[in-house]
Parts: sequence; structure tokens; C-alpha cells
Amino acid sequence: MLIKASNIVAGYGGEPVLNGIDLSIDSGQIGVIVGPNGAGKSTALKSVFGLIQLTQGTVSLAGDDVTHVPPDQRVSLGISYVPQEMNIFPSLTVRENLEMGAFIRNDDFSSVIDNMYDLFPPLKQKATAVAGQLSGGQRQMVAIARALMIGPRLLLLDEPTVGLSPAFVYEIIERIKAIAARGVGVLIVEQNARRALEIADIGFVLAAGKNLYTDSGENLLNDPEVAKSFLGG
Amino acid sequence: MNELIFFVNKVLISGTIIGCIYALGAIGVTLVFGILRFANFSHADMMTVGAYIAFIFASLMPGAGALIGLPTGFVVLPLAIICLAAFAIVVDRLFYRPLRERKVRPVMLLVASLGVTLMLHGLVRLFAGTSPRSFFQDEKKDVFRFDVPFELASRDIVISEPQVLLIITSIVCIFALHWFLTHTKLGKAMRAMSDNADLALVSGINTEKIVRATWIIAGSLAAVAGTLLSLDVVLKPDLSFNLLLPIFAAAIVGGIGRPYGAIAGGLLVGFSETLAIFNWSILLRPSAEFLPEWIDIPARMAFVPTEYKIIVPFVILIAVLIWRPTGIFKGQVL
Amino acid sequence: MNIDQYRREILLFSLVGLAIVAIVAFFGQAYTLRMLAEAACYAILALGLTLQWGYAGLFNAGGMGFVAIGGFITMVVAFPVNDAFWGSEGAKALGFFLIEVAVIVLAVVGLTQIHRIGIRGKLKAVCVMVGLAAAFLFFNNELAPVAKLIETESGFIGGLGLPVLLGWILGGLAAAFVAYWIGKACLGLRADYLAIATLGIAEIIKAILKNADWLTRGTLTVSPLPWPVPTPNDIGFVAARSAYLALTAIMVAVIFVLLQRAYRAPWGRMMRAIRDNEVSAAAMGKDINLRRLQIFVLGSGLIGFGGAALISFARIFDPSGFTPLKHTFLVWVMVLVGGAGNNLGAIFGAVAVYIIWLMGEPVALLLFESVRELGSLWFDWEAPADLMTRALQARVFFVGLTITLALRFVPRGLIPERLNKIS
Ligand SMILES: Nc1ncnc2c1ncn2[C@@H]1O[C@H](COP(=O)(O)OP(=O)(O)OP(=O)(O)O)[C@@H](O)[C@H]1O
Ligand SMILES: [Mg+2]
Repeated sequence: MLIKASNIVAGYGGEPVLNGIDLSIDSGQIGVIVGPNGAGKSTALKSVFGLIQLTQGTVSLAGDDVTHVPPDQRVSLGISYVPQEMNIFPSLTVRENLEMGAFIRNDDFSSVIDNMYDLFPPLKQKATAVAGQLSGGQRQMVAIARALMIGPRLLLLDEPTVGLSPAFVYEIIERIKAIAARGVGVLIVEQNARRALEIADIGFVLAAGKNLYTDSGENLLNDPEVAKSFLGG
Repeated sequence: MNELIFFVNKVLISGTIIGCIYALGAIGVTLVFGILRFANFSHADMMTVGAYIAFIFASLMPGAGALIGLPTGFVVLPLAIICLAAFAIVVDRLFYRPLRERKVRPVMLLVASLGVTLMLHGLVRLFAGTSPRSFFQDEKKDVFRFDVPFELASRDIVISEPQVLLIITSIVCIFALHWFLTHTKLGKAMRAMSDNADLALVSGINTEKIVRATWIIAGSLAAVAGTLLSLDVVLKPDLSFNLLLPIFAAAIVGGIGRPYGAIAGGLLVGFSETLAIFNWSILLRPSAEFLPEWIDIPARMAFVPTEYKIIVPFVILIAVLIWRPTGIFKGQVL
Repeated sequence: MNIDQYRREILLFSLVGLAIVAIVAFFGQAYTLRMLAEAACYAILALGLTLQWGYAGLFNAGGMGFVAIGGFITMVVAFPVNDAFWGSEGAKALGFFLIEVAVIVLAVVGLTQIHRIGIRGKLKAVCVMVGLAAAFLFFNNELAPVAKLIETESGFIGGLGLPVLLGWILGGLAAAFVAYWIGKACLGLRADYLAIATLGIAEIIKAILKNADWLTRGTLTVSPLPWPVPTPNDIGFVAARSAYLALTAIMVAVIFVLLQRAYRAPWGRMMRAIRDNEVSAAAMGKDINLRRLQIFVLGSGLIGFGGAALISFARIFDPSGFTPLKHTFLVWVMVLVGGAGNNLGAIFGAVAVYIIWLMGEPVALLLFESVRELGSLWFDWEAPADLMTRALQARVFFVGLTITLALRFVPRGLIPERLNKIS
């Protein structure tokens, strides 16, 4: 397993938000977390990245225990995280945003930037534009590209398609597939659950801080229970 | 014509000078505010300390200036910059970092900076006394006079050597800072952290390193501003609160976390001040002959009497807070 | 409530008691009474500040300004009538000037309404700006001769000869009034802005009081300010100061009880919830700013009131005597050391810190005297002539050090806020 989070209990100081959840995916796989609002999806992603303290449970990356590794060091271990909101540096240019993603790299990463421009062609034209002035979809591209700059093993994406027009949703989802195809493990939280589960190798349905269902994306889509409660019929 | 020259001397030159001082101070304040998220009340006292450090170096090596033909106080400036930058880091280690590590609300750091400012206040007074000192005890302050080639102008445009140095140094500092912020990895990371600190952390940016860089820049600029200000006027220990308000006003006008805004804000506040206390009746006086008898121009006609100068930055500050709290350059959302 | 905390409080207050006994023994009754009466006034300031900072997390760095307003209003209200002024030309000129000001104010208010006659947007903003600037210029240039006339004819306008307590109350109200406008401008924004604005307004108030000789005699100072109780001239130092102390102590007690009740009431609970960010701004809407404004105004009013009592006690109104150190930051130390958000802590902090502050003076002098002696004995060091004034200035250093140390090592103060939930 690339990443394995077992029996996570975590929260923000008060009652725990997560009451013992398990998540795991392998390299090159896409894992999708779905669930109702406030289910703890974002919290689950944050605990995988180490942004919140766990009261119980462990996280391991490729077999090594990283439960107590602080987030900035997890970056060096190859985990990248794209927050749900405020996930770009708005007053920096697109190119500078990418450079910041590569902050921990000391080598010449200009070819990586070119790769990103290939992956997200709109960014190439906007390279010197201030990121805060881009459209929503382009910002999301900047955010994902920034996270890819370290060449991560594991990419954590929190609702990358929220608020985007259908064309952009399609575009982003296609890119995510391409990223996974390069061998990166991708763990996504998604509102467009149906669309996301279609590309998911594994789907995790969370509700009230617990795993409700865990299965392949296809099985979940075909499960009438899941479809009724979480996919809008 | 003489009246116009008076205007140039009193408003254009003075305004530029004080504007540069405010700008240099405001850049430091705005960077610290943007990155450490608190209004650093000790900044003006850091400037004072910087000036005193320069003074100590200058008295240790009298005549150093004469070798190059510049004021000694200016020649020792690099030493003062190094010392004050180091000092700023030490202060951070002792008083701010422990609080940061406890993850207190940023306003606690503001309280700490009040403590620091009082301590600096006390230290300066303890070691240097309260009487003003001059960098030009044993040296002559050069003054440049420019003759204006007009018949009616008998006065000269006057600018002193420290003032010229101040303007040149400010411009150099500003360009150097611009280069640093846009062309180096550390500088870009500083802007990034000021933009979105959480994302900076998530990207693996070493925030303590950025904090250190911020203190070095703020400290260096404080040393420059403090020393050059006391070269222009005198060195005295009670600059602090009178300087703090215009500097904050400049930083907020420019938008928090926006160094270029701080420069614009500094000049704006500086010019507003000099324009507000300028005696406008001097400019009106020549028109007296053309006016009917019954209109007499009052001897003093200033917007603000000199002793109430501090009202100017305050009014600017409040106006910006009411109408555009993010500042003219759209600073951080607060 | 927890026993340990009780013990601690009793211990701390006994220490203060012991210190007071020792001071009576060394410095005598009259000195001790003076110290305690001033400490009681400071306790009112500290209660006002702990209300703002401790209850609501509002950063007021302008205590000095509110103290000065309280002192000034008390001086105007209670100082004997200056007959020389009321009979003079200056009084007429001032009356005329006030009428002019009223007209100008009306004109400016009218100008802000010109959108009704179709002038809007940028044009209106420009009109209002120009109008304001003209009004301000006019105000300045009309006031100057009037002020000059009053100063040459009769010195200053004098007081109204009304009861002192009325002066204190009006002083508090005036401070609250100023706080209202500052609060309106800054309370929706983050704490730092309020700190900067209050710092600025305090310096401005001081500048005005210091330079408006016709109102305050400026550097000439006004004295003797009347007392609400018989003065030392009537009944001697000990009796008079005892009476003053009794009066201020009663006020502290009353304010304490009222604040305590407010703290426990739903209102206080709400304030703390806002301070600790338990209620999201969205859930409360604009209400949060209104509540912050209430508390800021109330706290500043208390500071104005306490300041009035403090300045009255000194019997002299000296605008240059208002210093950020003594009237802003000393109070901060009291609140931080005592324990922000705890009224008992504020009172303890006020008394304890004030004792240390006063005792710091002889201690500093003694210390520096011995430094000078030893220095010249061992190192042939010739101390600077102004060493003793420097020694007193150095107390600033310790005030600052105390603030930073308190933040670091006793972040919740010596008598911390009791955080057990009051359900
Ligand atoms: N920073 C925080 N501090 C305190 N509580 C939080 C914080 N962030 C989230 N919560 C709480 O934790 C619970 C789960 O939040 P989380 O953001 O993980 O939900 P989510 O499944 O991502 O919902 P959404 O679909 O709205 O993004 C919610 O009840 C929320 O109120
Ligand atoms: Mg979420």
C-alpha cells in the first residue's frame, strides 16, 4: 500500500470529527472520498497530511509509519496536498506559484514546469499573469500544478472541481486520470460524486466520521443503497 | 518667485525626505505584518536603536568619513545595518518565537512588541541619556545651494548632503528590495507566505527561515531610516511614538503585505504632512497687490498648526480604515 | 471552584497586605495612603482595560488619551469659575466663535446631503471633501485670534465650579463618546487596527491639551484641582487621603460587583464566546461589532472615570504629565500580571504593580548609586552626570520586560480567569 490510514480518530479540540476511519490506496490508483456535507471528508484528508493531531490511529506511507511526521516533512517524503479553499498564492504569478510548489527542490526544475504547461496548456499562456486574476478553473489548475511540482508519490485533492463549469470539471477529471496514469496515487474528495466514482479505483463513502462503504468505484455506483443516499438517486 | 522657491524647499524637499523615512519604516512594518501577522509597535524604536548603533560606530572611528568625503555616520551605516539585523533576530528569538511556538493569537505578539518597545526605550535612555546628539559634532554638514536662474529669485534651493544621501539610499534600498522579492527564491517565498501562510506551510516552505529573512530586512531598513533621519536632523531618544503613527498609516494606506504600497503610502503621508503644515499665505502674498484693499491675507494660513502635525497621519489612517481597509494597493483581506 | 486557586489568591493578597504594612512602617501613613488612593484609581483603569482586553479581546493602546479626557473634563467642570474670563471680550469672542462653528457644522451636514438635489457619486465626494477642508481651514484660522485674546486677557477660560463627582462622571462620558467614534471606525477590523488608532488618538488628545493654552493653560498647568472630599488643607493629609481612599475604594467595589454580575450574565458569556471565536461571525452577523462597540465604549468610559479620579487626586492638571508609560502601559502590566479577564486579578494587579512601580523609584536610585560608587572605586569609572534621571528612565525597561515575561511565563496572569464553564 502506498498510503494506509487506519482507525483514525481526530478533530479540532472538541468532540472528534472522525471516529475511526480507514483509507488506503496504492500507487497509480485513484481513491475518491464522498459523503454528505460535514461528514469529515476534508478532515480525513488533513489527517492524512498531518495538518491535525490524531487522537488515535496510524498513517503509514509505503510501509513507513509517518503518524508523527509534521506536514512540511511529509512534503519531502512525497505527499502533496491541495486544500479546498485558498489553494493558490493570489498575488504571485502563475509561474511563481509553480516555483513555490518546488520550494523544497534544489535542482533545476524548469523541465518540470514545462511538463505542467503540457499538462495544463492554459497555464502556459498565463505564465506571467497574477494567479488571483485567473478564472476559477485556471486557478484550480494552478493549485494542482503547484502540488505536482515536487513530483509527489501521493496527491491529496480536496474538491478540485467545486464551483467549476461542466467543461472544466471534465478537463480536471481527465487530468487527474492522466496524473494517476503516471504512477501517482491520488486521493480526492469530491462533490461531483457520480463523475468522480466513475474514474475511482476505490471509493470511500463517509458519513458522520465513519466509513459507511468502501468498494471499487464501479460497485459503489451500482449499489442502489449508495445511489439512493449519496448520489442523488 | 522667492515664494515658489520657499515652497520647493519647505514642501517638495521636506516632503520627499520625510516621505522616504516613512516609506522605509513602512516597508519593514508591512513585511512583518504580512508575514508574522501583527503590527510591530517596536519598529520605530528599532529605528532609534539603529541610529544609536551607527552613532557608536561613528564615534569609535572618527574621521572615517573624511577619507571618502562622506559623513562618518553614513560611512558606518553598513555596520549598523548588520548589527540591527542581528539584533532583530535576537529579539525575535527571545520574545516572539516562544509565543509563536505556543501558537498564540497574533495579537499576543503585538502585546509582546509593546513590551519590546518599552524595553528599547529604557535601554536607549539608560545608556545614552535623553539629551539630543549630533553626528556633526566634529564634521561639517555640507549644504548644496542651487541658484535659480531667474531674475526675481534671490533665494536658493537648498538641500543638505544627508538629505541627498537619504534620497539616493532610499531609492537604492527600494530597488534592491524589489529585486530580492521578485528574483530570488527566498524573496518569492516571502511574498508567498505573506499571501497565504497556510499554503506556504503546505508547500513545504520553511517558515522559520522566511521569518528570519523578514526580520533581517525589517531591521536593515530600520537602521537605514533611523540613521539617515538622525543625520538629517538630530539623534534623540524620543522619536518612537511620533514616528510610529505615520509609519503605520503609510503601511495601511499602501495595503498590508504590499511593500510597493508602503512606499507610495510613505510618500503620501509625508507630503500630506508637509502640505498640511505649510503656511499657504506665503504663496498668496505676491497676489496681494492685485487684490482689493479689504482682503488681507492672514499671516499664517496652514491646515494644521505644526504642533498638531500628528493629526495628519491619523486622519489619513482613519479615512483609509473607513473607506478601504485593504489599502489602495489591495492588501491582505483582514 | 478549585481550592488551589483559592489558596493562591489568599496567598497573593496576603503578600500585598504585608507589603503595605511594611511600607507604613518605612514611609509612614500619609505616604501609604497616597499610594493606596492612587492604586485604587489605577484599579478602576485596570478594570476598564480588563473589560476590553480580557472580556472581549479588544486592544486599547490609548489609555493615556482617555485618562487625559477624564482629567480635562473634571478640571473644566470642577475648577473654580474664572471671573476675569466671563466678563472679558474673550468670552464674547468665544461665544461668537461657537456660533460660527455651529453654522459651519450645519453647513457641512447639509453638504453631506446634496445627493438629494441630484449631486451624487464622485462629484458629491469631491464637494464634501472640499467643504470639509474649507471648514477646517476656517475653523483653524478663526480659533487662533480668539484663543490669543483669551490667553492675553484672562489666561484661560477657567472652570465651571460644579461638583467634582459630576466632573468625574462627565469625564467618563466624554471618554466613552470619543471611544464610540474610534470604535465605529475600527472595530469591524482586526485588533491591530484598533491598537494603532487608539495609540494615535491618545497622542492627538495630549497634543491638543498641551497646546490649547486658552483651555488648559498648557504647560503652565492648572492647580489646585478640587476634591470631592475635604482636602489636606482643611483636615490634614492623613484624614483627607483616608477619605479619598475610602471614596475610590467604594467605587472600585461597586464597579467590581457590577462587572462580576455582567461577566456571569448571558451578555458576558456571549462576549467570551465571541472573544474565543466560538461563535462564528456568520452566526452572529453584524451583532458582534455592536457588542464589541458596547464593551469598548464602556471600558473607555471606565478609564476616563478612573483617570478623572487619578488626576483629581494629584490636584494638578498638567497636560505634559500624561505619558503612555504611566497611563497606558502601566495599566497593561497590571492587567497582564493580574490576569486578563478576571476582575479580581485586575484589582490585585493594580495594587501590586503600583506598589512595585512606586518602590521601584527608591530601589532604582539606590541601585544606581551603588553602581556609581563601585564603578568609580573599582574601575575609575566616571558616571555621567545625569545618571539618576537615567535610573528613573530605566524603569521603562522593566515595565517592558514585565510585559514580555508575563506573556511568556504566566500567559494567563497570576490570578487567571476561571475557565470552568458557568452553565
Ligand atoms: N477548523 C475547524 N475547526 C473546528 N471545527 C471544524 C473545522 N473544520 C471543520 N470543522 C468541523 O468538522 C466537521 C467536518 O468538517 P469537514 O470540513 O471535514 O467536512 P466535509 O465533509 O469536508 O464537508 P464539506 O463537504 O462541506 O467540505 C464539521 O462539523 C465542521 O464544522
Ligand atoms: Mg470539505
